[in-house]
Amino acid sequence: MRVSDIMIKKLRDAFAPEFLDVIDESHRHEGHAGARPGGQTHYRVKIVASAFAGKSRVAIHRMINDTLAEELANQVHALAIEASAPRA
Amino acid sequence: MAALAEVGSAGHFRELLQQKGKSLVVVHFWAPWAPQCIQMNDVMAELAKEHSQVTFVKLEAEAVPEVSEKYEISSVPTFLFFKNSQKIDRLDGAHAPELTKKVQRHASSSTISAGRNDNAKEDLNVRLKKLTNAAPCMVFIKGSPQEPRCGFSRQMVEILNKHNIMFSSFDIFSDEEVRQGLKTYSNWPTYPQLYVAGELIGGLDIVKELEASGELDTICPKAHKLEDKYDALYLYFSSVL
Repeated sequence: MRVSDIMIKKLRDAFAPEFLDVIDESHRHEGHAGARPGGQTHYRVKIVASAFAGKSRVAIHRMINDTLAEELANQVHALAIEASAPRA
Repeated sequence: MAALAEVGSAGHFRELLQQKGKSLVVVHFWAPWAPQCIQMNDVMAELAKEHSQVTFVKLEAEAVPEVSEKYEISSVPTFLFFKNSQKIDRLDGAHAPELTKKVQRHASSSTISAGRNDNAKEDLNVRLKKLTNAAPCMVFIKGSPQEPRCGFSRQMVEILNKHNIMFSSFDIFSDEEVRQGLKTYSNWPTYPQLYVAGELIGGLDIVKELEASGELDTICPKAHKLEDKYDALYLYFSSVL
């Protein structure tokens, strides 16, 4: 199972997002520290969920980091996050 | 706390350098209206305790223009390092970790190893707390602001510079203990990391959002340039006349 699929499932289970996209940007970091042949190292997460309403940016990122802690500790070297609550 | 000695004139400055001979003299070019300078005076006082053979003085840049102009002081704080009346090094900006490193490097005794060894005895969390509070605005990056070694760190530094933000930086490649420890300390797994007043503001994504919303200018301290102060005075006087 690809890392991105695992991350999508975990984020869905945790936040029931209205919008979710996990983009593999590993190819943009080829040759850089943290990149590996075969990729699956640098990702961008775009997520909109009511679970984030009223929370500070740092708190939202921490929620996402905690959910993906295992991936961050192992395979994933960098995670770009664009997160927000749905516009009322 | 012992106050730093103040150099009030060009003559006094010359005499001091002559008197100290080959001992290291560190001169802080400061201005009373710049809060970073007040902070850095505290940093210098701490360094003075550790390095008793080094002379630390401050010089109010605008009060002694002869000296400021000679050494092309364009902003405060600026630190000049002298030995044998010769300038041997320079540091522009309120970079406390960098000042500490330069003092250690230039002090003629064996204090160079003391830094790392002393810190090893300190509790890591105490050390991290000091580091994140080392300057009003601290950024932990890969590499240096002049030579960042990661695209995300480079972008972070670019944004801070674009907004004329006064910051100090720490190269996490220089210290593996800090690099791993800070992730746990702040519960934040990635770099770069930006701190203001010792508090984590976030990584690159958050800083970009703050930039877009305009909040970044409110949260972070700005660099003070002497020219800006003169410009402001000029405008004031021209409007009064």
